[in-house]
Formats: sequence, C-alpha cells, structure tokens
Amino acid sequence: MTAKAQTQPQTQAPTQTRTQARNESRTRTVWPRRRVHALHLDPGARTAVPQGTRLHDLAVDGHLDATAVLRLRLPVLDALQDGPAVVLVDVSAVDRIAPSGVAGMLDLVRLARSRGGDLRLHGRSAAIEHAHRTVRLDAVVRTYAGREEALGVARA
Amino acid sequence: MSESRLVTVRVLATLLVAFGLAYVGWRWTGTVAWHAWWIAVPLVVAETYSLGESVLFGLTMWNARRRPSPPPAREGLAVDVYIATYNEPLELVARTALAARDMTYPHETYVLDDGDRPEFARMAAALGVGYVTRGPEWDGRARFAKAGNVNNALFRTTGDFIAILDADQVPEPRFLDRVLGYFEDETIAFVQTPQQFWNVPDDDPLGSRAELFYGPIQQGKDGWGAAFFCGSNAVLRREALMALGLTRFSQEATGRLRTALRGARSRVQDLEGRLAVRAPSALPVAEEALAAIRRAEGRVRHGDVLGEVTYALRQEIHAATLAHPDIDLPEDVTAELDDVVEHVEVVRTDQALAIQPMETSTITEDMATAMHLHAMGWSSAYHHEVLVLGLAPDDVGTMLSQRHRWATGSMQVFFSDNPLAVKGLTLAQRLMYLGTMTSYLAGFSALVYLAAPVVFLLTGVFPLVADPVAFALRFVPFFVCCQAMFLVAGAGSRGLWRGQQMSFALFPTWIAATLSGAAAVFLGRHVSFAVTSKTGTDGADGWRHVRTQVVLMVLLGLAAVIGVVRAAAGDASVTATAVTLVWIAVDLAMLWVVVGAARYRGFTGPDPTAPASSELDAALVLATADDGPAASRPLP
Repeated sequence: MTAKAQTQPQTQAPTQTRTQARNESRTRTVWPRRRVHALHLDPGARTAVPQGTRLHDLAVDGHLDATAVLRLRLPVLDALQDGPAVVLVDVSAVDRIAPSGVAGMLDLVRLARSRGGDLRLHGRSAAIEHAHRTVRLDAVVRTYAGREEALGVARA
Repeated sequence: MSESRLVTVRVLATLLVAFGLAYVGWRWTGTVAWHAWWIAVPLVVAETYSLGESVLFGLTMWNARRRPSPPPAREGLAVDVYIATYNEPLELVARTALAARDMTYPHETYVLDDGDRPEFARMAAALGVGYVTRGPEWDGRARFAKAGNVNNALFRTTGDFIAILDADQVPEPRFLDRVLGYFEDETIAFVQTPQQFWNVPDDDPLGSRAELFYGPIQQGKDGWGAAFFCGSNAVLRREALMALGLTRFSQEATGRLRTALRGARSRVQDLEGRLAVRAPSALPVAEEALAAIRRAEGRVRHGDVLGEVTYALRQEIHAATLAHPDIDLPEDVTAELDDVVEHVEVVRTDQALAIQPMETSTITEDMATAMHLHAMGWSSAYHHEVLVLGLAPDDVGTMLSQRHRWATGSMQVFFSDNPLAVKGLTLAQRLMYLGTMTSYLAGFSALVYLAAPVVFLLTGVFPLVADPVAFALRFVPFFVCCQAMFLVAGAGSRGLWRGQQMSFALFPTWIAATLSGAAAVFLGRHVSFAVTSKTGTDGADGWRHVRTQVVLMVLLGLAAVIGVVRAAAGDASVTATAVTLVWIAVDLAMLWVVVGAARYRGFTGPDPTAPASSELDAALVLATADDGPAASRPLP
C-alpha cells in the first residue's frame, strides 16, 4: 500500500507580530444549536493497532483551538516523517474546545491516515465529548478512554 | 431607507401585488390565445414569472433598513486578512496587500496565492505580510478554486476573524475598525460591506455599478436576517465557518461512506472480472478485498464508529495484499486497491482537507456558505458604507464571463441545494435566497418577450385575446406600480436603468448559465471557475460577445417594417400592430445597452487607489529580482 507523500504546507507568517495578545476568556465559542442524541457505539468495532507499528505519544491541554492544532501539526508531521505511524494524543487535560480545534484534529487524522498511519485521541475530556456529540462527530471518530484502549490492546 | 420612503415602498408593493394578481389572473382565465398555445402559454408564463420576481423584490424592500452604527471595535481581537489571488498581476496584488497591511486595527495580512508564484512570495516578504499557497497535499486532488484557497488558509492561520479581499479590492485604513464591532453580537457570522469600483465611467457601459444591490437590496435582505456574503469585502467569524464545515461533514459522513463502499464493491467486482481473465492467480486478493468491503458495509449498518470501520477496512485490504507472498500481484491491482481505500476513507484522504468550511459544491461559494450559516442559526449584517475600492471588468467579454459565473453558481445552488428545502432557514430567508437565484431565470422570459412581437408582426398570430382597453386598464397600473416601486426603492442609487437593461439584454448569458448549472447538478458536468480578468484583454473584439443580441435587434427592426406593411395592407389589426410596435421599441431600448458595451474600450481615468509609494516600488523591484528576500519565518 502506498500513501501520498505530503510535506509541510508552504506558509510563511507575516513579519509583523500580533500586537494584541489573544484574550481567550473573551472568545466564546458558539456551537451550532441542535439537539444532542445518544449514539449507539459498539466497542467490538474498535480497531487494534497492528504489532510492530511505530507509536508516538503527544498531549494537548487547555483550550483546543486553531492555534493549539497548528502547534500540534509539526510534531504530528515529524512522527509521520519516517513512514506510517500511529500518533496517540492525550486530550484528558483539554478543558475547552473550539470548532477550529475539532476540525483541525480531524484534519490531523486525515493527514496521518493519508500516510498509512492513524491518529487517535484518548483521555476523558468533557469538552471534547460534548463537542463531538454536538456535531455528531462521535459517529465518525472515537475518543478512547485511555491509551491502552486507543491501541486496542484489550483485543489484540 | 428613510421611514417615509419605506412607507411609500410598502404602499407601492401592496398595490403591485393587488394589480399584479388582478392582471395575471385575468390573463390566465380569459385572454390566452389557446389556438396559438406555443407562443401564448410561454408569454403568460413569462408574465407570471415577472409578477413573482416583482413580488419578491417588493418583499425584499419591505424590510429595507439602515443599521445603526456598530459599537467600536473591541481591542485585542485576533484578525487575519486574506487576499485571494490566482493569476492577477503582481503590482495589483501588491497594492492591495500594502493597503491591507496598513489598516489601522491590529491584524495579520496574508496573500493567498493560488498561482504559487515565487515573485509573489518575495513581494509578501518585502511588504512584511504572510504568504500562503497550497501544499503538495493538493496535487492531483480537487482544488475548489477560491473556496479551496480560503479553506487551505483557514487551516494554516489562527485569527478569530477573517477579512476576505479579492486581489483588486483595496481597503481603507479604517475598514476593520468600522465592521469588527458587529461581532460583539456573538451570533453574527459575517459582515458584508459594499463592492464599489473606481474604473467605471459615468455612463457605465458595462452595467458594473451595483448600487441597487449594495444598497436597498442588501439592506432589505439584512432586514429579513439574510444579508448576503459576496466573497470579498467581508469579515467572517472563523468558528462559524468551522462549525459549518464540521456539521456538514458529520451530516454527510454516513451517506457518503455508504455510497463510497458501494462504489468500492463495484470496482473490486470489476477487478475480479478482469483478473479472472488475465491473472487468475491474483483472484484471492480481490476476493478478500471484496469480503473486507462487505464486512465494512455491515459495520456501517450496525452503527459502528465510521473512522474505525474505514481504518479496519484499510488494514484488512492491506493484509489481503500481503497474505499471498507467492502471488505476483500486478502493479495496477495494488494501485486500484490503494485508490479504493483512499476514496472510502471517512476522513477524506481523497481530498486535501478533511473539512471544507467554505462551501465547495458550487462556484458561488459565498452564497452557499452564507445560506448554510443562516440555516444553522447564525446571523449576519450588511454594513452600508464603502470601505473598499476595486476593479470592475473592463471589457464586455470579461463582464459576461463574470456574470455567467455568478449565474451558473447561483443556479447550481438552486438545483442542488434549493433554499425552499434547506432545513433551518426562516421563510423570509428562503424567499430572499430564492429571489436572487430565480432572477437568473429572467433569460427565458426575456426570450419570450422578444419572440412574441416578432411572431405577431411576421405571421399575424397574436398571443393574447383581449379588448385593448381592458388590457390597458389591467396592465398599465401593474406596470406603473412596478416601475414606481423600483424608482422609489432605488432612489439615490445610480444605474437603475442600466441594471434593468442588463437584466434583459444578457438573456443569452442567463439561459446558458441556467443550463450549465442544471447540467452540473443533474448530469455531473464540470463547471470551471473563471477568474475575472483584471487586465481587460478582450476589449478590441466586443462585438463577437453580443452577436445574438445584435441579430435580434436587426430581426426586431425587420419585423417592425413588415408589421407596418401588413397593417397598411389591411392584413393585420392596426391596434394590435401599434401595441406591438411599442413593445418592439421597449425591447430595442433594453437591448441597445449591448451596443455601448461592445464599443467600450476600457477606463482611461485616474486610479485613486494608486498612491505614490516608495515602499511599494521597492517591494516590486525585490519581488522581480532573482535574489529577492526569502520567505519569512514559517508558522509554528
């Protein structure tokens, strides 16, 4: 199986720096207004990471937004540089999340999978669970309870 | 709009509906010349359509409002300014970048260069602004034109608010200060400001002025909670866009995966068939891949997490290719299975981004994005103050190409994502979007309005059976109300007559665009995004773009002569001929606009957006020098 090669996107920052520090407490995230449904999740569908797969552990905390995801992008790219790898991201310390954070994490999953690997979130985070339920993303990606579960060790 | 004018407009709108319904009701019930149904029915349908459009216009104007000034922009907001470019000249983009950089509210400016031109990167570095282009992940994948360019940048930058400018749209220093205050209302997803062009002569031969739209119409839509996002000169809330992208992604994920798995099963079955003939030894691989796809389909039906289903499928197909080391698997089989896996993956490894916040299903991404933001419950604002000056098309060919793109995109949305069927919109919002989209169907009604008098004057077949006085008594009040409401609502807006002419005379463009939009939706035809030229390259050959209209004008003239001769010879009713000649005169007056458009050779006046700037000159020199400044530091 081959994966399409990707390199870092060509982006250069303005030389002028942001003169006003971001006041995070003022930036309230407005999620779409929709009813939250419970979703049937079958633990039997979890997928074990094959033996011999390279693993990389990362963690994010605090506010998961566009800035946090962009910061995470480089280590994820580094992890995938030498071929397929599974990146395990501990999100248990995430206490707030913006739609940009959710979208950015999903794009990192795409990035990892397009290179033959995967990116899995683990750790209990009420903010992430709420966000995923709100946009029904819990039907698409799972946030595992812990690292072992993310690896599927219980079943492997 | 002032209170007294609004009252007048509402009175006129009420009268228009009353007179209009009376006229069209009368037309349908007793005046259709059924013996000549092939022209009589299209005519009465066209008239009914025109009434509908007039009612929608009246409804829009009913709530036209001028917003009070927004609160001052709060300090400390993180704002990114995007300048989207593809093939525009370096100097034009540099001028916009310089003006954008110098806006007074603290922000970061990025040139989004879809042309991936090194000199643009050097120019950006010299001006101290950011530069974003597509990465290799876009190679060989759908690029989605400007929407893709903006989406790419959204995942490369971090500002909470995004100001979008087209390459030629030069902002005033106070642009951000004037509009950011609206975002104190946390339901506001975007603020749109007018688009005004500096290179339009007083007689506006190409009908570029959009003062009616960027005035009463946008104010009316705003009054109904449906201000339009028009792609440039607007500021958007990042999180609204991202929430929209996420919602659409998750809503479509299951259906898309089911479809993709069906397609994958079909492809692998085809592969099996081919292998049975040319490489039977490789059949077990295809059979195992097919079994894996069927298992994946079962898991989707069972409600398993989709990301796990596609991960498992990938692993299983991968395992199938490795499970038979004794089989010499043809390369094309591996490639086919790779492609199957890529296209099935729920997080869209077949695309450069998992989420597309800006709509990519149409070439008018702005309208579709705004409509879905409104459907999600976000609100919007139209700020009626010219804060940006840009370039209008400078020749008839470019103008027609631009209008064709707008119309095609709108009709794409009309056919594929009709506002009447989009969940979450209010009735008024649905009608505001519908009014804009259906306005492009005017091409068909114009064709009927041109054909009917010609048919009568040449053949004597009149599509209407009515006493002339009865006709006048019903038609004239309706017509007068339409025109009066148009004039009152648009008072102060330049180019009202030119706008009416263009709406009628560009009927071939509207018809072609409607057909293109339908073909794109129903037949899957590709619609290309034609970037509006900013260099006016087509000015010398304007006539070829308006051949249809010129031929029709000649035909109308000939028909008039023949009609007069027939009436003089007693072969046709004098009254009907006189009415039809007036009709012909109106048609000719409307079509005449193409003569001026075809003859127009471009604007020759001064450029108010080109201040002498040694910094700009220096940046251009550095940009075009081989050893210009390198890219500045990368983002983390």
